[in-house]
Amino acid sequence: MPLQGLFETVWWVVLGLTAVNFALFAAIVVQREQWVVHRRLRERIARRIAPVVDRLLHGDDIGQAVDELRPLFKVLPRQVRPVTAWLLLDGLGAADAGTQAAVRKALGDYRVIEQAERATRRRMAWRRVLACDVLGTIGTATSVGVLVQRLRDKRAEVRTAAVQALGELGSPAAAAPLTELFLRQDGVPIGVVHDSLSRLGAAGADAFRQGLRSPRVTVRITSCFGIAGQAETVGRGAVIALLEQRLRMDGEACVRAAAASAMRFVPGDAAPAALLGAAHDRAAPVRRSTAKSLAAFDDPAAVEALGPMASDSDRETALRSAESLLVLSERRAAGAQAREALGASHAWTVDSVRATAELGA
Amino acid sequence: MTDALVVASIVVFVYFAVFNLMTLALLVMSYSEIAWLVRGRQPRRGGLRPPTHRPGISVLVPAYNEQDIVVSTVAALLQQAYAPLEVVVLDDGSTDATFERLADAFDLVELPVGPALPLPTAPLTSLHASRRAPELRVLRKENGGRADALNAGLCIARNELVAITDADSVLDPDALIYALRPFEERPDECLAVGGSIRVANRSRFAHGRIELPRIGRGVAAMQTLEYVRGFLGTRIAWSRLNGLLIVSGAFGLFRRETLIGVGGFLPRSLGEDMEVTMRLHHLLRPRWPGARVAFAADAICWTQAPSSLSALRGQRIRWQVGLLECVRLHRGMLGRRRYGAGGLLSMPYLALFEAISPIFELGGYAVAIVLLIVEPSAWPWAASMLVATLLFGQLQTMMALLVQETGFHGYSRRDLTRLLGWSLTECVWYHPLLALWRMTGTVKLLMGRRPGWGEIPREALADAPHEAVSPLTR
Repeated sequence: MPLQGLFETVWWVVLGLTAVNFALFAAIVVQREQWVVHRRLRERIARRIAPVVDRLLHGDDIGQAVDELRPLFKVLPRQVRPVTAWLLLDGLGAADAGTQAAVRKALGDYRVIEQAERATRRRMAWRRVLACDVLGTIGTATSVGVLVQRLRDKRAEVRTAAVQALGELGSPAAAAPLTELFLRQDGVPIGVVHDSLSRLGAAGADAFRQGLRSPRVTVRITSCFGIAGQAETVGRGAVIALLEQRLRMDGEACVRAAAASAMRFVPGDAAPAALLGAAHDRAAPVRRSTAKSLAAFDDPAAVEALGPMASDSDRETALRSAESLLVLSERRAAGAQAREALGASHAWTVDSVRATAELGA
Repeated sequence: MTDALVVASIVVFVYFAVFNLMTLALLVMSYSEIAWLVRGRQPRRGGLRPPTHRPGISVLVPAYNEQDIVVSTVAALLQQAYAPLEVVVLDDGSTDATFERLADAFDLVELPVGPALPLPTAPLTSLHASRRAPELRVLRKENGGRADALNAGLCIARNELVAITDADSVLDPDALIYALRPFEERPDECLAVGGSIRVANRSRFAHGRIELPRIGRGVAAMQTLEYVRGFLGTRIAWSRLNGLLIVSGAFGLFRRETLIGVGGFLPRSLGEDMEVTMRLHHLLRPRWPGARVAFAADAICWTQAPSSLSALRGQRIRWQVGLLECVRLHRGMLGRRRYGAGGLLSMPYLALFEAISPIFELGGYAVAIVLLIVEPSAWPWAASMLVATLLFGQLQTMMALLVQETGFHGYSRRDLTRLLGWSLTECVWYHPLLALWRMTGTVKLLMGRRPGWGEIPREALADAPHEAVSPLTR
């Protein structure tokens, strides 16, 4: 057995492993120091902008306070200016719109927005994410085009950050690319696209209307909630009609459940007929959603539907129905009938929700 | 004879070299993920959606004879920065004052339990709500074990997602928010999310959270290293590969209906957390396109690790038996493409490098000793093999600590130095002990002497009483 040869090989392995271990030890030390350096930089920036933020929030002369930003940004390294601007606007969350607009204009004058827009094309993907994030807060109408380009970025994180930033900016110009992304349900969490579209008002509502007819289940579910949030722009009646259509016709129980759930965000006096009908849906998730949503309608018909549901074979449906009856018992039109239904019921769920309600009281 | 021993030592060396290189590859993958996580944590707006648009989460806390810690655990859970939230304590037939302590602290009143539970469990005794914390429920039941208690919790829970945790664990206040993220990112694919478990021994606990993480001594320090390697090291990578076969019982988030659909937790299992995760893969991956079990490194749960060798011995024997049972139960996944990375990578890794590694480890020590007795002049060879194996292990530790430092940077410089110091001693005493206990577990299972759950003595967390903010805090 050539033990000597093997022995030498193993020692080479030992040497190599020792070297890598030392390299990793050095990397750990460097990583620790980086945290310290970053923390100090953050603290230094926060210290510098704090007095300006204070004057902008509480001072009399906004113009002068805004002027103070110029020397501040001049001395800061270029790469930290966008983040500083973000910190500044974040600190100004409580300021009035006029002050915020003045600061945004100043940031534009100091070319901070331009720098952030340029940073969306940097090689390091996390820097692109950061730039999109910053643009969401300090960006202007010109930033929309830049952010739309990032919707095709090869990294999902960058695309997600761009979608969020477009939502923050709320420009209708972003509606078409966001709608396309939403319907494709590709590469960006659908909830993020939903939130951004919701901020676009009527332009976003169109995306949800199309989404209700999508072959993709998740898109249809999200669209139910999306359209329910647009009752002010689309009109309550139109929203209820769209949701009723889903509730009656969709083959997927989870979509019907979503449609029933979404109806509670469009409350009113008369419970939609499809929602009342859904009390008998064969799928328990639909009945659960229905039971909860019926509480949003001050309608004796809702009480009639909820009564038998309080003894539903599905535990959660039964509990939710009893809870909804309790809610309706406080309402004007349905109150008397709901109180009567609660009094006559022998369901365990009614005892349970009554006991729970007493705890709250 | 000498030649045979040298060949045996080479086999053991190659086995560990392959094992370590695979683990190292996973660690490198984890590092790239964690670097993203850190950078992505910088400016972020928006935050959470309004509570009406968020899924409700029910936190299930099985408790068996946990009178000393149950109140502080529940108080900490109630401080979670998440709504809608429900905390369900499952008193699994405790024989101590677990329930009485809860009743005193939270002013409990009885509610009807109701009929029609979708999973079979030991009989339920009573259900209680709290006058002080509307989101708290306490379910009393006859003793049936942790899995049985969790099944009862699944039946009682009212939200669509259930988080499982232990009565001796403390969740970071935003742990649920982070755990929810994979569900939001892949709403139609995510089946479950595992949280990141850290060792809390000697850490300072105040305001219902771990305020100052510290490194314990001896056995606790070693487990800190193990947890860092296991959770930050490999699980991030397995999650990325969609081959995560375990969501730790200390903290995991599941779809309630899905869990009930696959039959809930296996009542007699000693590794019910691993078993249910494997079952999710086994039953659902072939039928549910894109289905995945994810890991959320940011969703942190602090747990008390055994601080004595005897407690650790019991735990590790149990874990080994649980692991072997899970591998046996779900061996059908082994090497099958339809289970994706779970069948092709994780399962073979688990079977080859986790389940049977004690045989190779103890075999390696035995071969080295016999070789030195038979051929004393071979000591440089045996020594070089030993040093190489130690350095491979150390490499894993260093890489995992780098991931920890890049991502979380929680420990003080002194604690980190101490941790590095302890890591140098790991291969000398800790690894051989673990191998021995795991071997004991294997032998016990083969002989049909299955261990019970036993009880792990709890250490009270280093609380700061003057900082307690609520009358509910201990």
